[in-house]
Amino acid sequence: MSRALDSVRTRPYGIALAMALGLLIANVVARSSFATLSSWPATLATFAPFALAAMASTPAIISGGGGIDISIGPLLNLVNIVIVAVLIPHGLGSPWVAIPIALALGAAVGAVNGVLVTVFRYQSVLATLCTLFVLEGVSLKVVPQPTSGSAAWLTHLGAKIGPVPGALILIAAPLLVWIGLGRTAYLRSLFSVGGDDTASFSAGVNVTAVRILAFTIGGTFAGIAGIALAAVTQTADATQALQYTLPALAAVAIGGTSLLGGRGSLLGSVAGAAIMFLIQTLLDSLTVSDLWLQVVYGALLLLAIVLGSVLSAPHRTRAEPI
Amino acid sequence: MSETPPALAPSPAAPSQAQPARPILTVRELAKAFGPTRALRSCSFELRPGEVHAIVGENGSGKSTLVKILAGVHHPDEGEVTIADRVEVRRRSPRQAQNAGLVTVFQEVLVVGPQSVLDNIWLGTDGLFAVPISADDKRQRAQEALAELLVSPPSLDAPVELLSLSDRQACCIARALVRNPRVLILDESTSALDVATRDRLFAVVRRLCAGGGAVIFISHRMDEIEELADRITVLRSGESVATLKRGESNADLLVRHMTGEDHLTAGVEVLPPKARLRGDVLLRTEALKLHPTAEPIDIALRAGELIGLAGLEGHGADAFLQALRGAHSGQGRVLTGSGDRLTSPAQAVAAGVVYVPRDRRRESLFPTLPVLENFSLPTLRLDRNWGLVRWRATRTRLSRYAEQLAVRLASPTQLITALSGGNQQKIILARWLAAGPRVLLLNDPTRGVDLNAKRDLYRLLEQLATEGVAVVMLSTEVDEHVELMDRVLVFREGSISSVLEREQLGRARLISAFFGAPGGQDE
Amino acid sequence: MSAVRDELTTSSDRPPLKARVGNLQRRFPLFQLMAVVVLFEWGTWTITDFATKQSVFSMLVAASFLGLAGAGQTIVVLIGGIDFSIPAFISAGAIVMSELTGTNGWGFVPALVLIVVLALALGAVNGYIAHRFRVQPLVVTLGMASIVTGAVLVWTKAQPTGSPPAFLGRLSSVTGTIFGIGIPPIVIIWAVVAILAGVVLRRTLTGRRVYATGANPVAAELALVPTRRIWVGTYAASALIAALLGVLIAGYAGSGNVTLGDPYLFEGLAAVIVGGTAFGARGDYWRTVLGALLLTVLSTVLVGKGYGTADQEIIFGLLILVVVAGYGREPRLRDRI
Repeated sequence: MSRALDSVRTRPYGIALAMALGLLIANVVARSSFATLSSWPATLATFAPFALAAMASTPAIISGGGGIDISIGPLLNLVNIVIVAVLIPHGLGSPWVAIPIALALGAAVGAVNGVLVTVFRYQSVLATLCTLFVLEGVSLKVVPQPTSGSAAWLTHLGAKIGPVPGALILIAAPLLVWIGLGRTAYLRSLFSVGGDDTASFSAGVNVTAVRILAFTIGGTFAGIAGIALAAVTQTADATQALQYTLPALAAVAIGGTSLLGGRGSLLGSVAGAAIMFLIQTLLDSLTVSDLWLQVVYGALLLLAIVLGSVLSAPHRTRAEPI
Repeated sequence: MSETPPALAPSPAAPSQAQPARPILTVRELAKAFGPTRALRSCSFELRPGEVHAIVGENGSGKSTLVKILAGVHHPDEGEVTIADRVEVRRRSPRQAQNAGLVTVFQEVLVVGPQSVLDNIWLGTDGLFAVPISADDKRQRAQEALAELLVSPPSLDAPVELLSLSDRQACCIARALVRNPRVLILDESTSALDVATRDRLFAVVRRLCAGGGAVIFISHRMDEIEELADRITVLRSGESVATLKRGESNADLLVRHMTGEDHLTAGVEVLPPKARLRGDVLLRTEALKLHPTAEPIDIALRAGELIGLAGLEGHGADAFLQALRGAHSGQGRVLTGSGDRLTSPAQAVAAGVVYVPRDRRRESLFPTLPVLENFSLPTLRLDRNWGLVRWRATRTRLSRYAEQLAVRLASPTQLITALSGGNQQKIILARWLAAGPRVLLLNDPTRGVDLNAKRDLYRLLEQLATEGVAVVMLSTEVDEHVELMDRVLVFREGSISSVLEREQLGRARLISAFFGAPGGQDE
Repeated sequence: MSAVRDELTTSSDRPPLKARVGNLQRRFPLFQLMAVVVLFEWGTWTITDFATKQSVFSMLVAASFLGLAGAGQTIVVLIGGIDFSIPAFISAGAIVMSELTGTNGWGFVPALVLIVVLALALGAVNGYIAHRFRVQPLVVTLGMASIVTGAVLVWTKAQPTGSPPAFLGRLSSVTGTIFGIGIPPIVIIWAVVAILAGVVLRRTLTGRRVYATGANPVAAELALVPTRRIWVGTYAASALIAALLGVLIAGYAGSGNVTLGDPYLFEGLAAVIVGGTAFGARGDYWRTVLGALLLTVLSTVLVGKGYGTADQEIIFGLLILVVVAGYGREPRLRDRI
């Protein structure tokens, strides 16, 4: 039993993955058509923006020191808007142009957040709150009214590219980047900084660079999320800015990443997003009234994090409340 | 007096014995201010290859600022630091300091909890992406460094947060060692270590010096300085006031330099035991087992006694203290003098058993609150009138204790973080004294406390004992036990291995009791 | 003797101006006060009808809503937590009051009592879960928000109906009067809340325990502060204030719906942060009051200058950064070792 607990401790996303798997099975049981391969691309395309938003919120949180990025939602929406309402109508809708621009925009905003937090030493919540306001305002200026626009490659991304669901490629991209980063010293440094920034600084780690990079990476992932959103909706709507912000944070927490920093994983965030997504589809399949969705959602979120905390709590002395 | 260990006897090969060799590190007129506070005014000294150079000074003398400048954490306002003829750039980072061969182990145990021992040891050596040293090399050198320091080193892959405080500090020291430092700076690094590890650290220090490196050693503990230091530089109020050679100095002389007064702190006036009434039993344990396989403990604590708890870290002294405060969850009971069983810390306080924690920063201080509140929090209800707190009453109470404890406050509303470590500890002590304890439990209260404040605390504890309080104090400083205590309970393997009465107390005897060996030689 | 070591100031020099100001700022919100005054003056001089009684009352009413939305958040931030369920409780309070009194014919007082009881209970659950299981309050309150919103949706079958008693509308109206005095009642209510909060936080045992819990939870526990009770009580209070605010907003808007509380999350948080309260026992509710005033005056000035919503948001974000730059930044890493 303690071996199981140990493995949960070292791999905090373990529980989340298990729950996601369980929910997947439950979904298939509830509605066997869930498992038909032909419906997967559409399902995944709907899931992708949310999963990517959760992944985009993760690096800033891992970097610790109160790190959080609540501007991810508006950022991915802005990228979506730029693609659908700016690039495509102006003839810049080719994927070779649009995708780099999307990524660059995400990275730039992420970098700005990173600089605000490290160089200018604003609290993360405040700095990203301000970015949130600015991005919302910019989005509203660009598309005062919702518009739409389409491109063939976007449609493919929202469906299939060859045999592979486009959304799968989008979701896999950040994971591959993360694995790549894991082969360098960067991820280890990120977790060091998140675990204890004064210890890391005094030992010689370049905390500033690590943190700025964390926010930049998160922003880039948000750029990918914007592409995913464009692929599935092909509309630009400024009022959708906050749609993903809070659920993404919930997904990150369910996935086992600590908001204190230094612990967590990208895979966990995907799992957390999957859990929330699959709960919704499960309730739909069971034809539980939509109205109950929120209640069940909330209750399950609470259950998940309480369970996660109880099962993976490291040795804490009694005198430590939080 | 302890004998000079053979390793330090001058050997012909040691460069420090020939003409003064070119210094390995020169600090010239360093100055640093933080806002209005001038932490360093003019600090200068030289470090020669092969020497252990001690830096002593009270809290507020500028020691920790000096260390942080050398470590690259802070930038000096004036002055220069020269390493082997190369004047260092002023705006250095910790990484640059390390690259120049200057490696620091801080007083705080700075580890990243969730990460492994291996990662903690090599923390800071990688680039942003590049890994200059291979994984195998890292493992091997980490293993070697740990083996030098610890009798039973932990697994390299264990998360550091599961280790004891002493082992975590050992990791920090190993972190410094694997960088092959030319100059190793140890800033009060021994305070978190247990005795066994500390001795091994001293051996490492000697090895480094014999190899041509040098060590800067900062400590409050006279016995360690006497054992290790070749030369001693004294800091006072941000200035380096004297550099003494080994043999030229003694504790009194050092204290005189540190305080700038003819303040000879002779030993505490120890009242002979007969003059202190050993009163009623205030607290006793009944078949208390600190862990399932330990021997049961039956001990009675009487009013007017000064009892020391000693032993290597993790051997039960701390667990015993936790039990006495009502936080015991195993077998056995702790009873008050009137027979009530202690089941929780809150109940213990109500019964007059009060506990002063060890880690001031983590367990006692409220950094954003003023001194007044740090003092009054547990006893604030005494100042209530119609549900509202009358701060004037609180201030009056505080000033009574401040006077008794010799703490001079600019204002009771200043932040507690503005006080020195010694004064902070006094305020914390006042906090608990205000609760009117009959039993005072103290967990290593003089850690990070300067000499004068320590003496003040000793006097206070003596006085409390005379007034009939039972004082139980866990201490990792052997001299404290020898000076103060009526009885010392030595813990080994989770139970009491020996009880030494005042007449039997001596340094060597006590330390050998830690290891379970029959008593050593004492003066 | 050794006490001399405490103050290593340069002989008898008084600390330089910057340090003195910094010290004062730590204790009194100077920057925020100045910013409000400056902005208001700017508005008065450059916008017509900015400083009329109608306009000022209008600003005060808006600031009251914002300030009350930030009240619960303030105390929660003081103990080191955060409350993302405030919007949900606001909406729920509005809907429940409207439905019960408007559609179901309940009296005002019974409906109010029910709302109070439910808010306290559910808020207490927030605090309990966060403390007992050591999970981040941000996520706990997100979950609770979902539950509360969902429960209300189920109860009203997603069609909230009814309107609250008319007198509630008069309480929050700009032209309202109270006891014959021509000041909108809600402003008076806000002032009363602010004074109460100030007294409770600064002069009661509970208030000081709140600060202790936020400053160092471990030390607080050891100093016999019942931290679990503090967490439960603080979150219960936050939910209660939010629900009562919802009742008032229902009066203002004439009905309730689930998105009523949404704008108050980030704006309320902004008011708290701009006011200068930081996580972990730094700050108090007066700062949030100033923060709410600051943000309200700012947005009124922007509207008066003809900036649309989009521009307003952008300027909002940028200006907050500028205003907070003077006092709200974290200490350097090198100073924390």
